[in-house]
Amino acid sequence: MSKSYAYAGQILRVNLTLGKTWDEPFSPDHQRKYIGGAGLGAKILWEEVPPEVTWEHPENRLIMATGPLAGLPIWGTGGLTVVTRGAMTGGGTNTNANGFFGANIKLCGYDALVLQGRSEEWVYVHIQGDRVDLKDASHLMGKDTWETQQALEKELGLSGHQLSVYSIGPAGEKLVRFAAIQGDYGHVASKNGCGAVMGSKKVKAIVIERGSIGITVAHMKALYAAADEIVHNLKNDPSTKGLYMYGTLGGVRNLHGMGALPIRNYTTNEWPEGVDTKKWEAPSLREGFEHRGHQCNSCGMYHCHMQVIPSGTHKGEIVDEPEYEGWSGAGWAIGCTEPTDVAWMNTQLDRACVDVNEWGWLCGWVMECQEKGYISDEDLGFRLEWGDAEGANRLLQMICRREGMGDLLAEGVKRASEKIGGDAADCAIYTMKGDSPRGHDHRSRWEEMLDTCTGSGGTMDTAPAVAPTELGLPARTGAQDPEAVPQLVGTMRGRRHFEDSLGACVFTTRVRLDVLCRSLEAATGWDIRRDEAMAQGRRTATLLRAFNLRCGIGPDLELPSKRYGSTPVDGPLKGVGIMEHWEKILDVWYETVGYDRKTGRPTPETLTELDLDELIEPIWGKEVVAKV
Amino acid sequence: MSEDGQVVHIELLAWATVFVGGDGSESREFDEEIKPDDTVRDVLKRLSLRYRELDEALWDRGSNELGEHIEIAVNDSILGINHHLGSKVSAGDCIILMGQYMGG
Repeated sequence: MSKSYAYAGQILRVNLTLGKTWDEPFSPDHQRKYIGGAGLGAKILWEEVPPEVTWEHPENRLIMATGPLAGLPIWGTGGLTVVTRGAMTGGGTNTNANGFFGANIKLCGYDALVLQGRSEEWVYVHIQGDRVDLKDASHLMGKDTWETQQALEKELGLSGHQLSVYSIGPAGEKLVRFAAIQGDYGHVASKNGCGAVMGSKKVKAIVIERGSIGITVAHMKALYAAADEIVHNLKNDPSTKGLYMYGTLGGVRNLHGMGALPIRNYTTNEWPEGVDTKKWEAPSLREGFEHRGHQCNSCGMYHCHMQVIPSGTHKGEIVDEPEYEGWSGAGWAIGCTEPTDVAWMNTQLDRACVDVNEWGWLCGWVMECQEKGYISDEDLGFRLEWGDAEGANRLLQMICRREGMGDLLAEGVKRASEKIGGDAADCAIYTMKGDSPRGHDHRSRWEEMLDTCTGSGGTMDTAPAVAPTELGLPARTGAQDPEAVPQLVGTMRGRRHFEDSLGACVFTTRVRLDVLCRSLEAATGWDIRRDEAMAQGRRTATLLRAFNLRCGIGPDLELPSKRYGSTPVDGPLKGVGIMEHWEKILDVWYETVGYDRKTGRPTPETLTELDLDELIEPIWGKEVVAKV
Repeated sequence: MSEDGQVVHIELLAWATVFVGGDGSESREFDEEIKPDDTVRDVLKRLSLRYRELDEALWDRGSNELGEHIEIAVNDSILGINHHLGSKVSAGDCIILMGQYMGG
């Protein structure tokens, strides 16, 4: 075993076909090159999943990796990154969840878990220190994610943070293409159908009992100093102060003002009449519920909460406080504007376990199609109106059982709308690769539409810029500037992949890169600076892009669907469309990231710069290797 | 109020109110007097000079351009579409300041 500071130094492998488990080393040189999380996952995916291994193929890998900061006294360090070949795009997936999984697995002596093969019968994976068992999961079948966790807590006689349970719900069991993996009551790795991949392997849950292996860091005092610096920044920075106090609750009100709140499937950017805007401000959203903190490992943010529905049909039910994406996908995108209804619906989605973003686009599309007569009541089996939370849940349950039209809808909005065709097809929101855009109206956030369409992980690769001046960019870029937007997205590319490799939450890594490097240096003893961090992130991004290209997902698919790329008809961006600039935007982005515009391939020079020479031949062929 | 009553209306919405002493809810409104040839920048700068936290949040120290923390709309249109920082303001214009966009 190769042990180094901050790492467990081992990867746990589980071959479900053979029922075998074993450890393999995560060597120090690979630790430095890939760090962990997304980086480690991308490496394994590239090396072990050839193009013929499709998402549901037994030889697909489901990698659940954490990173060097996991389990340390830095806020939000219980995270895991799920990497796999996903069901939505058929390409790479890089999706995160928090809670305690990352800390617990590290304390059991592993930096990552890799599931391969397919079990004959449904099982759950039980990890207790270095003991790993595949156990019968037949009694868990049909249970939602919260019921699954409760059943396993009872079965094992453990509760609270003594164990971490990440499971699929009914959606993953039925291979719903946008099924997710949920854990620790409300933390969801949601993108690209990773739950369908887990379902295809017949794994209902991963259960990790909190281990007791010590994590050694290189410089403990410096680590505490770095952790304090992160806390200070999160509490005082003008942007993150709101996040510290209210999580992402402030999103709805802010995004509406920018025309970035997706209302009723992108049909409008204006508040529906009669909506009380005050109800949607962060303090009101929190004060409107009885709630209690439900923080992740080592975290002091006032972010994750459980709450009690205060009134209405579901009065008294416990739900998890929605993130902004939940308010959006379970609410605004489907015309639901009553916070208690949205909070309830959001939890039904977590429990059935699907991606809330895809849900918003799918359910909103069905509602619009019903309103316009493209899908009849008879076809659907009932009438579904804008804002009908109970009806939305009925639709969700149909999808999870693949019942009636639910069978088609379980394929996601891209495939369902293409199948129905005609005018209905024009209303659907997706990328041509098959990604589900995040829960914003990207027609007012061009960088995010570009990022989603060019991303290789099933969602945005780069995400909103944090401290762009650190990388020589202006503090602010005009959100509709066709030259500056792709420069911003291209230059920031890699930062998020670096964060996703650390085993920390993206909300607590919203600090300057230099601060993150200081914490990583204290943990590992590496002399790591901003340039190396960005290179590591870009390496991961490039590996995932190479993987997608090998899967046949190329630049011809880097486009929004017709509705996704449409021009807003009202609101702050009325009449301002992105598509007339699209080719220009791509030109600038490709030049900035160092990929070939025509083929989409990272250039040989870029691969060499990122210490990925071994990719040149598979991507470009022997002839180019000879020239290089 | 200026002699001829020429003002621009500035509204800080929801979270942005914390930068002018609010609690992150509802809105805080200001009527800022304008002079001939005043720009969006001039008006915002005059307001932010009265509120240290707003000044720190609104402007990038290095460049004196807008920082990354606050989003702005002028007359219901995002800054950069019909108006820029250097655009002249007119009496009756409405400038809205909002908290920064973030996902989640």
